[in-house]
Amino acid sequence: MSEKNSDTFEKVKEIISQVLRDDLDIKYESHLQEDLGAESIDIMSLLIEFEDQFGKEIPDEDIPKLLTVGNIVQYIDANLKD
Amino acid sequence: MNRRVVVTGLGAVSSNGIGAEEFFNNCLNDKVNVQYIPDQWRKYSSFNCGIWSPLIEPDYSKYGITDIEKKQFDKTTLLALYSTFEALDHAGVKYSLVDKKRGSYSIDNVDPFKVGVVIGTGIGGVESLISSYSFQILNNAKKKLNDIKNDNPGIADDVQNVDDLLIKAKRFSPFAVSMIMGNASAANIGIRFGLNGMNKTVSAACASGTAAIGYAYEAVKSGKLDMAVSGGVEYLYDEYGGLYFGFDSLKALCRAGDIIEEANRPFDKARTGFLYSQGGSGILILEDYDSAIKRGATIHAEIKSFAETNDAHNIMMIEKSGKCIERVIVDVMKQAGIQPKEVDYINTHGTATELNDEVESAAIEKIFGDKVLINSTKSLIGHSFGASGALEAVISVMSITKKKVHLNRNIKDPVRDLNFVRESTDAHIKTVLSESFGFGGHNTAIIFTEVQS
Repeated sequence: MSEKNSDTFEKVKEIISQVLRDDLDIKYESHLQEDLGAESIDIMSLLIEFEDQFGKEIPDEDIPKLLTVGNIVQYIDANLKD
Repeated sequence: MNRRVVVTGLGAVSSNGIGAEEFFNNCLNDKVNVQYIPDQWRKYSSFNCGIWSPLIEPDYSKYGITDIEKKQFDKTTLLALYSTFEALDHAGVKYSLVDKKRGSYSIDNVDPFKVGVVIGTGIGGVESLISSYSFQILNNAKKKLNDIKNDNPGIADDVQNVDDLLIKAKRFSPFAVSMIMGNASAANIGIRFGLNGMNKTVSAACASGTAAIGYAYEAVKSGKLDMAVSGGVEYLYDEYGGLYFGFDSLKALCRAGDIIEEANRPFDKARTGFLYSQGGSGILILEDYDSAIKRGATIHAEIKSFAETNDAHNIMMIEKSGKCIERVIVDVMKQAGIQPKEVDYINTHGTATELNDEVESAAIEKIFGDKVLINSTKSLIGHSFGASGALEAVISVMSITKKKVHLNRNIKDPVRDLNFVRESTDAHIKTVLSESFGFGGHNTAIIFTEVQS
């Protein structure tokens, strides 16, 4: 299954919708801040949700890499999933 | 300007009920929630008391508070928001969603700069403080213990036993600062409903709730505000029982005895201290009388006066002569232009500590004699600290509207021969005095009356 159709992508979209509380058109290429309007407080909540729902900690040094939805999906598949 | 101030909405969460109606009815029906403390706490200390009144947490989603927000807010803020929604709905105040992303509203047909918030809390977001600091203190220590365990299989069980005692939160919350700060509840109410008027937090220990309602009353009376969200909130819980131990070690808490539901005995000669409540919230919507009438609101009671004095004596002990408590009662009646014989019912501070009940009942007897109805809401829900005065204000107002007063539980041999309510009863209550006192010597008193049009 390609990453764009993966369960991870669907879950990430669901989490972003919950945190940003808006009917957003979330695409794989969407930039969290520029396209989806996420503010710094939203990013903090998103990180908490990714950690809680995928069950692993995201080290601080990895956070700057997570700019787009695609970055997050790839990161979760590579690092947070068992 | 000297305007009449009325109560148009009520919200409450207590250890015996969620929602003002359920809370009041459960008090009338003698429903209490007394439990043994969590076993886990006993790993950290031994306790004199060993019982408490845990909070039944509400379903925050009822008012659109999300699971995401539950990780952004301390429990005090969540409780205060929940009770504010209930109180605004009860007041028939209409509000509209203005920012879906933030989940924020604006109140219809008001000048938002004339709507304010005054919330009392004894300690604020202390649960969040302890939770995040547990991570800060223990995270690296636990990693090192794990290394020791792996390197030394012979002592692994002993190391694990130590490790098990070191309970830590999952993370240092990135929201910790905004969760801990004492003004978080008041600020978050203002943010949620777009209230641009005075936004104040009052900390006067166990008198915080009554003081907050009193200051909100003064702001509406003076014309500074047209409407105020006022009340008190507290949530005193930690995984280690440390907050509880703080009160227990002072010997301020009741002794459990054989029947734990009978341990908490305000104004009884056999009282041994107060029942620790996990917390709660009480919110009152106050409005200028003319504005309330104009929008067709149901008016539940009028606030006639508020007064405060300070013992200026001892940080934790009531001044024994009771002169400052007498003075606050005299002041609040003088301001209201009310004679002692006109007071139908006193909702006391009534903690069940030796000194409070002695001094408070002596002051009541001296000023009012033995006719006025007296009870202690804490006899049913325990002591919820900064929330207590606000929850007692809810009871005071509902005693007027429902024409009923709840019993003073567990009173068999009263400290004085006063008119303690032995069983919940019908009573046409026109005037209520509610008293709250707090560590730091804070004495507060407020008078609610039936509304005369």
